[in-house]
Amino acid sequence: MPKPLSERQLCIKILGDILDHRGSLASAFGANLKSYPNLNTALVQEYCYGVCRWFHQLDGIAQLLLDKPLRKKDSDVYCLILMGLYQLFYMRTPAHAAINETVAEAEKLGKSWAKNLVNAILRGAQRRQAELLEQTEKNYVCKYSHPDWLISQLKQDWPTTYRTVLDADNVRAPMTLRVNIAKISRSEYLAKLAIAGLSAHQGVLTSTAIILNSPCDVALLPGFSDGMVSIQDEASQLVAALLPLAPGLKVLDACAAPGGKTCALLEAQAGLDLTAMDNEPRRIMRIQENLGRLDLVATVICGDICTDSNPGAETFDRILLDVPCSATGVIRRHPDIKLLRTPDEVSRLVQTQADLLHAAWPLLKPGGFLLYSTCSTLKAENTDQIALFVMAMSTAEHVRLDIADSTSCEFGTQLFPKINSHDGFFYALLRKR
Amino acid sequence: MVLKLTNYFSNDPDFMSLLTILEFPDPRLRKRASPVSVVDDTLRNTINDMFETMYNAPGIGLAATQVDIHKRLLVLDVSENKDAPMVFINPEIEVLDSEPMGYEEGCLSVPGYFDMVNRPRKILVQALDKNGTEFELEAEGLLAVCIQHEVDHLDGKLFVDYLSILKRQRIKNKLLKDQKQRVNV
Repeated sequence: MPKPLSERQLCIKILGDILDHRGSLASAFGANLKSYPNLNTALVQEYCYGVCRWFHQLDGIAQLLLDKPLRKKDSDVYCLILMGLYQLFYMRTPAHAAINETVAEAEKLGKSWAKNLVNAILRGAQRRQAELLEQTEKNYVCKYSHPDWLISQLKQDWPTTYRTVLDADNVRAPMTLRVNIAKISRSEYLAKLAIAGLSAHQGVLTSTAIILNSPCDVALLPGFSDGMVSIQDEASQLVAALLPLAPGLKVLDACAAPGGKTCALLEAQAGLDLTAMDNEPRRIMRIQENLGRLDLVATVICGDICTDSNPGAETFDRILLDVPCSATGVIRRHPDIKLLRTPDEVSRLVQTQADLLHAAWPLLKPGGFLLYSTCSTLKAENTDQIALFVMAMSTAEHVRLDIADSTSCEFGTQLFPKINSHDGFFYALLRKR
Repeated sequence: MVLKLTNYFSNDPDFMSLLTILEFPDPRLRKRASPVSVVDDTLRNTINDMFETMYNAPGIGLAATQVDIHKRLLVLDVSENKDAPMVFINPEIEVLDSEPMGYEEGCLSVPGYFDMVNRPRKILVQALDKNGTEFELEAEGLLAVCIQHEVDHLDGKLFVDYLSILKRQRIKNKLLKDQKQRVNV
């Protein structure tokens, strides 16, 4: 067997897969990472998330320093250079150590020829740091470290706020908890956290959210395995406050996996008759796991409302339609979205969302409510999507939502990612006449 | 040329030489190795060469099959500092805990590829050491993975055999292409 990969070699593999659209951070940092028992996985995570977060800026700097682009088969050397630049510009490693370690790694890649190149580029970056950062300020892609198409789209959608959105995308998201208020009150749980030595504060949008001042392992959270709390961003937790609930109502969560919002609804209102659906068998298991840990009951179905598994016309009093989306509102949690998402993909998602709306609507009883949600910041998936639907569907009536700290659109309400607070999110509530 | 010269001194145990590691899909990797009958200086020379070849790769385990010697013999060293060399002659494995453990495995005969393989968590190995003395060893973690991986080689088995046919085919095509390129250069 070969010598196990070093941290940097593993990063090169993960980043190479992302650049080739063959993998994502989520797939790399799932169960797989546990199979490298001897590695400092926190360091691997820091490098990989950091390079993705600042990719467009680091890439811009590397282009300025390279005489000619590297060949495709040397993408490993390129990833190594990006990691070295990330270390120089964003980590506290002393510059000489960062440079020496990165140069040594080129040798381990079996590419000794690259040692001089890597050395020259990193020393150049160190020497010309101020000048290079000034250069990146002149180019929006570099400055905001987002792909061109996304900056243009956000600028068009939100001409006055898009810069704040781009900046917030580049700041790590906090770890947010949803307190299961059926089991413990928020203030009591805050006290438990204090005893455990974890500093935290309550969220402002909901009565259930607690934001940790610094992230920690779930195993350290008091009562996590007993279902006292779950990990969920505050914007997602809003779902329980926005969908009007009452005991005995028949509720459909049509795109439920992994079940975070399903559980939020069940915790907020006892006695709901809830059906959770999703079309991916693998992800269905996640819903079951979450329900099990929290001691909640729902009917879980693997199926797709757009195809054969229609659960019956005019059956439900409430429908939650948390559609698949570009996830542009959670870039700060999944910075690889910047590298993976394409405008074509967004167009396809917009179509899927429209299909889901049209498939869900007949399942709703007259007088019932449908809550549409995305973790997107793009109008095409949000207010424009709902506008088209309401225009096409005479029985659909738009109900205004009042959410603090949000931007009211013609249809629905947009939340933008906020530093030390919630993700970017969109909600629209529709009532069936 | 230099490598060939060293063979003239091959009965000097301090003189070691690098062996060529066979690469998938070489059919010789599929041969079943036969038990070692005598542990003598010739075998110990082979062992020294195998260690040098393994450390040079750099690797943490090497089976004789991989260097085209079809005897039940393997060397390994899973330590950080290359200071825990181990020799297993005629190894026999007994599973102590069959609970599967996943590890991202690679192989010196399948360069550049790593993939998840599940194997029993804990094993007991019986083998002879380099002096021909019998010993027993309980192994878990990386050591257990490595021993099972190398013993597989002695039976003509590779870690890619645990992957899907599709993945195996993709790896095979890519390696064949690399090997062809090397010949042309």
